[in-house]
Amino acid sequence: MRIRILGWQYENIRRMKELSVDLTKEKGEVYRSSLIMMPNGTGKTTTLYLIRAILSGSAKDWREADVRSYCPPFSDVSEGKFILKIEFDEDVYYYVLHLDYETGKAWYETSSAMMEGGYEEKRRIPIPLRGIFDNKEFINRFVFDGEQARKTLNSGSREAENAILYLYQLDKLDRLSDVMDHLIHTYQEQSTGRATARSVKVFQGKAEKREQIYNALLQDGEELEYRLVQIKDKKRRYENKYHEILAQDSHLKTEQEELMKENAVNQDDITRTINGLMNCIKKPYNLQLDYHTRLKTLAENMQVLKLPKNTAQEFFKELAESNECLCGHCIGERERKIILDKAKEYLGEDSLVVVNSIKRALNEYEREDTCDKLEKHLKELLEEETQIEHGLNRLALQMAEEGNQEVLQLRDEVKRLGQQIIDGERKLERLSTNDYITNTGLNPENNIPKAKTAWDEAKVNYQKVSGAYDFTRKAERMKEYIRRVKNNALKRLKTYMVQETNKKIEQLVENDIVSIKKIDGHLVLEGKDGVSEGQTLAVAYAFIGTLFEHSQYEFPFIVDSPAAPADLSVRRAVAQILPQLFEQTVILVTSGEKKGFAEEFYSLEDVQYLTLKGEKDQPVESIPGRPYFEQYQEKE
Amino acid sequence: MGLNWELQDAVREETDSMQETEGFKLRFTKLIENYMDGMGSEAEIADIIDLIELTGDEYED
Repeated sequence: MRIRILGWQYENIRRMKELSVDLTKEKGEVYRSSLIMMPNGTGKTTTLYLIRAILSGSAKDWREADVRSYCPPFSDVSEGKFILKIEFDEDVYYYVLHLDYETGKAWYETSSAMMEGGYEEKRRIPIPLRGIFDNKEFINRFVFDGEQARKTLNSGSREAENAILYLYQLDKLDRLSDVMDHLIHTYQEQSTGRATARSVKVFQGKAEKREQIYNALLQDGEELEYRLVQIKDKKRRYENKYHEILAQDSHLKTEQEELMKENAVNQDDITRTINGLMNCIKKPYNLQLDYHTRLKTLAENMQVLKLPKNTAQEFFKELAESNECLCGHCIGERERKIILDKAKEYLGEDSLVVVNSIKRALNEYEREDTCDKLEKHLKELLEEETQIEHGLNRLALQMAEEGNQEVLQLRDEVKRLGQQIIDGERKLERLSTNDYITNTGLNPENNIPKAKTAWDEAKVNYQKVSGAYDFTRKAERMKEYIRRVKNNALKRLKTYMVQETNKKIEQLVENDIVSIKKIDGHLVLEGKDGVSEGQTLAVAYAFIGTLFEHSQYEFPFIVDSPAAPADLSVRRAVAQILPQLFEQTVILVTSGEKKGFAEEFYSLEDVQYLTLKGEKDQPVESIPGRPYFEQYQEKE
Repeated sequence: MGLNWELQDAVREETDSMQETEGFKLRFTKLIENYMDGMGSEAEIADIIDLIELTGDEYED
């Protein structure tokens, strides 16, 4: 892409009331070299700063004092403007930097043939250049001054290397790595935390342990069920045998059958009564008279205190809207604020609904004596059960007395097996139940459904963390590939820059041997700790020239006092090399730089000369042409 | 716009030395080209990352 600066315009900026600088020829093409004479104090540095501010977009961060520093002295104008006209390939863009001296704000407008509807209230840079231009440091490399030249050789600076990184956009590869970091972060946030090899192992171990516990409990359940079937079968066989023995005596057989019938009825009744009692327990006022008495006292107190009769908070809010209180006092702003603050301490409408429900429930419930009756009935049934058991025992003893001792053993065995079945079924119930209200103390270590849930959760956690871990490892590997590509490309570019820059230095520095050894952040010179100011400029321009020459972007070069500190021989060399380095060079000079530098351009073609001059405290004016430029001499 | 030749060579050297599938190498090269041209979505990058094959000793560190 070819970038050309076509000109700029000042409006109410320091000493520039209204002034245009046009860098184009008749056909709209730019001069290869434009020398603009700007005596000290006419705004050379200001011009450089404003061009940089438009290209980098940095003015949006300016403080109010920064903006107002551009206001013309002793003037009451409210706004200043700096307009920059740039051509990107065939497209011409107008950038306006507005400086509002009243508010201290700076803002941009852009217009181009590509955009419809005139000016757009923002700084719009062509897409391919956005990553490059948004870097303020990069802009300084082609909107250049002596300080920037020194930076390239300063051992504490990374200026030279950064210039390569930004111009060849290798820094974009860092941003690609940042995208990968963001992806890793997103994956890990969706999982259970930061994925490391250790955390994957931990989660894997947890999942395996949960699976083992679940399988062990399942096996326990199956074994228990199998054992219960066997015990029940054994008990049934013993019972049958027991009954067979008793049936050998017809009298005992009849008595036994009657007792067994009574036992069945008794057991049914016990079950029903226990269920009734369980329901009673859910209403504790039925169990404890004292509890019932205290609840009724609470209900009476709520009644006496008239709590809550109305919506207190709403009352105060309504009161705050009135102009006069119930007591006749006026309600002003202060009183209104106090009432509203205090209203927060009272119950609101939603809280009152709850309190009223409690009050109603306390008033309406009645204590029942069902519990006492059921408890008494259960005791009777249990006594009856004991009697039946005694009756059956008596039959067994009678049989034993008649010589059949086996019946006693069978009776004891049936009893023992019966207890085993009760214990086993209780155990099985706790092992497999989902009812965690009736069965307390159950956890994933002793209950199959809970163990299954814990295993499922552990599996999900493991899958999440291992998925994120795998992704992290892959992304880290990809980042390493990209890092190596970036370093390799940078190394190649640095090698090329050193070779080509040294060729240019040879042309610039005639009386000394100066060459670049390597680029290590800054330019490292071969066998020298330092060079003269003029040689510094020569090396810096040779490097900048090579840097831009190799790029796929064709930048203009705008430079402030390019040869001021140099001796005459370096000035001449710089003057000869600058027009060769760039297709467009805009040079801001003082009259002191004519000798040895500006005068070298007089013999060249395609050079524009402009002189911006103005007496102290007077607006600056622009005078085109070489004759005036040549004869103009700044006052000392 | 395409890559400058130093970057092209660096990408080629890297893909030649990496132990990845040809599919990954192609997508990786294309990703660098696209990204330098201001294109390339997170979804595309995630897809390419997934093409990397991990070795068996990933959990041994």
